[in-house]
Amino acid sequence: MKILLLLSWKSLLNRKVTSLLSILTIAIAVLLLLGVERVRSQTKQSFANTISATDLIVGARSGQVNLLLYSVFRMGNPTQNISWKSYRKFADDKRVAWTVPFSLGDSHRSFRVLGTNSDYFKYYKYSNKQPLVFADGTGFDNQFGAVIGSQVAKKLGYVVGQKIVVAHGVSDKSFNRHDNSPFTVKGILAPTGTAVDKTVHVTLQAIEAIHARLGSHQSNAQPSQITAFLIGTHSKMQIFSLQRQIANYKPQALSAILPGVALQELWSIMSIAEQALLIVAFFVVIAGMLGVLSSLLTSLQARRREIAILRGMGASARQIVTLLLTEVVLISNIGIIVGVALMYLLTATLSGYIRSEYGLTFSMDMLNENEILFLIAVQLLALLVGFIPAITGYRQSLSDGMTVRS
Amino acid sequence: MNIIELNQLTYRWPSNHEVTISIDDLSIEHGKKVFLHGPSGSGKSTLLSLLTGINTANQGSVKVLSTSLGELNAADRDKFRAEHIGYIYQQFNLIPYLNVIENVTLPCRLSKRRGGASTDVYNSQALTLLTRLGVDENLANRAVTELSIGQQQRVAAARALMGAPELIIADEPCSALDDANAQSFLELLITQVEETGSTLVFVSHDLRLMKQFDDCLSLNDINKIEGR
Ligand SMILES: Nc1ncnc2c1ncn2[C@@H]1O[C@H](COP(=O)(O)OP(=O)(O)O)[C@@H](O)[C@H]1O
Ligand SMILES: [Mg+2]
Repeated sequence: MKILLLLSWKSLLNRKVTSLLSILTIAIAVLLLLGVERVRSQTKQSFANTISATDLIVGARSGQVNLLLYSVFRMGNPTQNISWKSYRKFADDKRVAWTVPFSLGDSHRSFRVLGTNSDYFKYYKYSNKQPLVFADGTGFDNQFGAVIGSQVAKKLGYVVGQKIVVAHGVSDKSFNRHDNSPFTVKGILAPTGTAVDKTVHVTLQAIEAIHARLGSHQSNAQPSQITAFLIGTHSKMQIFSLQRQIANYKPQALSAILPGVALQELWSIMSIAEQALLIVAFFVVIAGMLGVLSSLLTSLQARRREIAILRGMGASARQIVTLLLTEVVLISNIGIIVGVALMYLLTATLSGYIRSEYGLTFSMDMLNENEILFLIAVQLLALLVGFIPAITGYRQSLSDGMTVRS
Repeated sequence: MNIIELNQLTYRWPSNHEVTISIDDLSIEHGKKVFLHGPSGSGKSTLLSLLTGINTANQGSVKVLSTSLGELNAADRDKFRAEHIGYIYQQFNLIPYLNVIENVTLPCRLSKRRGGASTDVYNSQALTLLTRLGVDENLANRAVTELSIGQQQRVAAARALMGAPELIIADEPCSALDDANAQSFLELLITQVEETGSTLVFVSHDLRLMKQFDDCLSLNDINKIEGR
């Protein structure tokens, strides 16, 4: 056995370039597979982390995914608003500990603008009940103060004190910019990896003011309607009765959703795409294997002589098959190791960039169970594929007899 | 005592229509040096592949060392070959990615019986054989591709002789060598074979080499194939 390992190793060294290419093929396929898996689990994680500690999200009646998308992910548009009266009715309910009102629908240079109040910074939690943290500056400070997410600051190069202008609607065409309502950046939030990073936060009054075209720095514009609000209850036991009551609220058709449940539904829609990505990665692995297979089969032709010599020395069929299989296993083994090493190398060099750019955290974590299973699958696949050249080589040697006519 | 006994032997390559080998009766005595000749394509190598159990007869029997090869299964035939037969090819005998000494000791490392000793013992045996066959000791760790054809054939002979197998088979080992080289190669080979008392079956079409052998066989005489 030891001699066979030595033989296959030396034979691989003898064909350095092809062996290296084969190893690289496997390594890149493994890298892709692990990469996709890590991106997948990271997105899922950060997805689940988007909102935390909120018991209910309330908006005009719609599907829960839709409501979740526009309120938490700042994607798509609300169909209808909630009157200030309806909001106050539930905000003042004795079961409710806190609320955060949302007013959406405006944009600043393709970033969504969220009208809210300073409770947002107090109660909005993400990840594992983590509060928002200011990287620079403070809260709104005054009616025309703005607080921007980390990506907004980064992409647009804003600092505290910067004057900005908000456009009505999300298209940001210059003709409907509210040029006469300039805001001042008062605070910049630390990165969260959620939609908060891409949001420009302003006060509800300011939203009201620019829509009423009231001119600048009017101090007491009273909001007449909002888009959605978050609820935190005193006791978890009350969530369901509150939810039912909101759903049955007569003056206005409202929906109250449980963020966790809605996130799950949204993820189950999204995960189809993720799964497709994973399947593509698996196909890349298979394509890589086929590449390795074809190079092995090609080299086999040139190695008929070598195999005949070994057979002549009394190498058994099993030894020849083992020899050729060992080569495939060596290639895939080294390929897997190189692939994993590349993955960690890329993580080490790019994780900072990815975190600041996309808010996804890639850690140098050990391979998890799933990933190890994937690697075992790759190895087994290689072994399976390896039987093809191994058996071909053996059969060639049988038909060659003692002479190889080349 | 006979080391090789062939009886009513026929063999046809699966891809060919005609029978290549058809031998009624042939025996070779233990310890003899036998010269086998015949024109190219007459089936000499095919016969050797039957003697070594690489291929098996369609009919008849091949007995080597009183073992009927046809009755062994494939794995046992491989084992038998590893333990009792040393084989030298016409040329390109060596594994290109192993160095000289690794090539020579390979049969011992593939088969327990031929070896059965430690690597050190093989190595010193290999070095002795190499020097006796006229290969300088300091070539031992060279890549075999750096050797001349003549040197390569000597290394191949050393490999075949390792562990002193009972039967040495050489299939036109001199055909790639010039006359002087062929002569000295044959002399060294014969000296070694005599020393170990092995039987030698030597194939060549160069009849000038014949005089050093005990017996001479012409394949055309013993091989009765119809239509030829
Ligand atoms: N591996 C093989 N497959 C099929 N036919 C073969 C093979 N080797 C030899 N033959 C056929 O057997 C015949 C004898 O060949 P061979 O034994 O190599 O002759 P020699 O060694 O005397 O030159 C030839 O007709 C050749 O075509
Ligand atoms: Mg021949």
